[in-house]
Amino acid sequence: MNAKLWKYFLVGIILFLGILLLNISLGSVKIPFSETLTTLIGGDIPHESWKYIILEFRLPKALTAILAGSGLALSGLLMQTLFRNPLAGPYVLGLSSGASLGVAFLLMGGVWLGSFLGDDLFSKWALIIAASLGSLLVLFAVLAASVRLRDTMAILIVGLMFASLTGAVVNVLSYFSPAANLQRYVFWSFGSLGNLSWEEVGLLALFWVVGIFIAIFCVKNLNALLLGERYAKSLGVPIKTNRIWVIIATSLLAGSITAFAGPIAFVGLAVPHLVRQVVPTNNHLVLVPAVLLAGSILMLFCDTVAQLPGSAYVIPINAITSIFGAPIVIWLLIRKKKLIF
Amino acid sequence: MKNTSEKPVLKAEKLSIGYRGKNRETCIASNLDFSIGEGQLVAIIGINGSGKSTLLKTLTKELSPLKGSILINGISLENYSTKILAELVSVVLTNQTISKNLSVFELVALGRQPYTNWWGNLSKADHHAVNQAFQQVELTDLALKKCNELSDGQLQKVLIARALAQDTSLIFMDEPTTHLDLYHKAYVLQLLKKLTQETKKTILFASHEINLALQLCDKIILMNNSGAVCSSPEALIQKGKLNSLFPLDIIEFDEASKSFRVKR
Repeated sequence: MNAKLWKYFLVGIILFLGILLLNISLGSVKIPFSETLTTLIGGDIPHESWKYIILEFRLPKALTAILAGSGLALSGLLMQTLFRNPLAGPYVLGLSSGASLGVAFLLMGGVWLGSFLGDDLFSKWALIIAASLGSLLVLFAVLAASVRLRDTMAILIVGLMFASLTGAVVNVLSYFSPAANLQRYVFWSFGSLGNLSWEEVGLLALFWVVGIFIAIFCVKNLNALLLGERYAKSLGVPIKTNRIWVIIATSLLAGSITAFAGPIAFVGLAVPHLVRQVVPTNNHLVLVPAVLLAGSILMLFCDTVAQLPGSAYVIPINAITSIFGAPIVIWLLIRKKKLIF
Repeated sequence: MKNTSEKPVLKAEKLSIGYRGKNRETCIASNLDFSIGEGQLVAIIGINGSGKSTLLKTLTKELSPLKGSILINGISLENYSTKILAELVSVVLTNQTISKNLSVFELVALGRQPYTNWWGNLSKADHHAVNQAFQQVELTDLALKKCNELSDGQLQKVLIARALAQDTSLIFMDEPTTHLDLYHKAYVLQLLKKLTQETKKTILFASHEINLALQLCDKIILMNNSGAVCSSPEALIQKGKLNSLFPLDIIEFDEASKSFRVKR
């Protein structure tokens, strides 16, 4: 069993490195593969501009894809276990819309913050914190509803309702805000993995690491939650404390990723299910790293497709994840008759 | 014969159970007194809404008693932390949303959680306890199956094995025989009987299977409007207590056959 698991991880890591190299070596500017490789391992190549493209544009973008894909996939897994609902995910439960609301308030409603926003780094922090707070808010609301409802379908409906509610607030905000601010928001909402400086990638990575750490410390309790809350409690799990930690981890991950990369659909929902098709265990100690790896691979793949190799066009990443994600979920549903978590 | 009543594992004194709302209490049953010894199989019977599940929830500390006290091994339930209680009391519940993607082995091994380290690694002793639980419920051949491949009866056995792996002196079960056919109902209850005899664990279960419970249990807690009666099945029958269980318009207890009959 364990040897089999290591084999899966080995295949996963090879796949990951392969798609990572592919992702970095493809783009609107054609750079020979050997030169890409030389640059990555620190060597000098004759074209200074190629080096700049790889180190300052493609590498941070690939890293963002890895952070976003793995983080969203993990928050999907956390939500599915916490709500014991196979259809839960950061997008479905309205976390991404919550984050959008936070960002909308900041970009369009934050006139009084104007003087502070002049400071570039502060505005990045503000963006990430506003988004995280937004998803935290929605998550607590969904949770409060779930405690009363107990019906798994109802929780999803509540998530959808919150999504449209936040959407409406965003609409009101955009109606009253000046064109320049509105434009900033609209560009943000398309979602993009590129355009992040190394500083921003570092900030995102910080939130990512904190989120992942919290999740790893919750692994044992998450396993107990697979039996439902009453069983978990009988096993000595502090249900409420654990719930709060899982929610904080999810909000940090989904919030920070949404802040920098825009709302990205389906990765959080689809990746845990794809992993469950392959990995023969439901132990979170295995599922968490597997989901991180698979999320990175899927996101790198989507990003590679999004930049339309050889052309100067980049399709919004949100569109690509939906184009691949939605059929995957439908395919899983039809094949399995029923999604299980 | 050993007198088990001298060392009560579980004791309730003047217990009132129910739900606490913001402004008012809803009392579901009151004046419950019972004392249960080591290695006994005890059924809680009563009409729908008589408070069987509420009693179990109170005994597992999910609800706090409205009045009175519960003692486990002579110490009040309030004084046990959730963590310590996990080594004393395990549960088998119905209608829980259990991940059907778990393998049978994983599910049973989760019973070892109170004893494992922070990431839940199974030690040799844990593996031993899990294997023993599998043998006790005669399940070993199912270990690698997934839970969604099991029949209701098999799943019930798996859940019982999980409780056994938790290695507690008390096991509480909420209707362990629902959704099962008559054969499997008898099978599960027989299994519980065997387990109490072999392992000296005390098993308390809420059930609607009065006929089977009367034949197999050491004690019965009968819940009705006026409180609860706790005694051996024979004593309950002799004192004619069973006719206080249901309204008497349709069924009545027939002492000769020790079962309920439809009135003619």
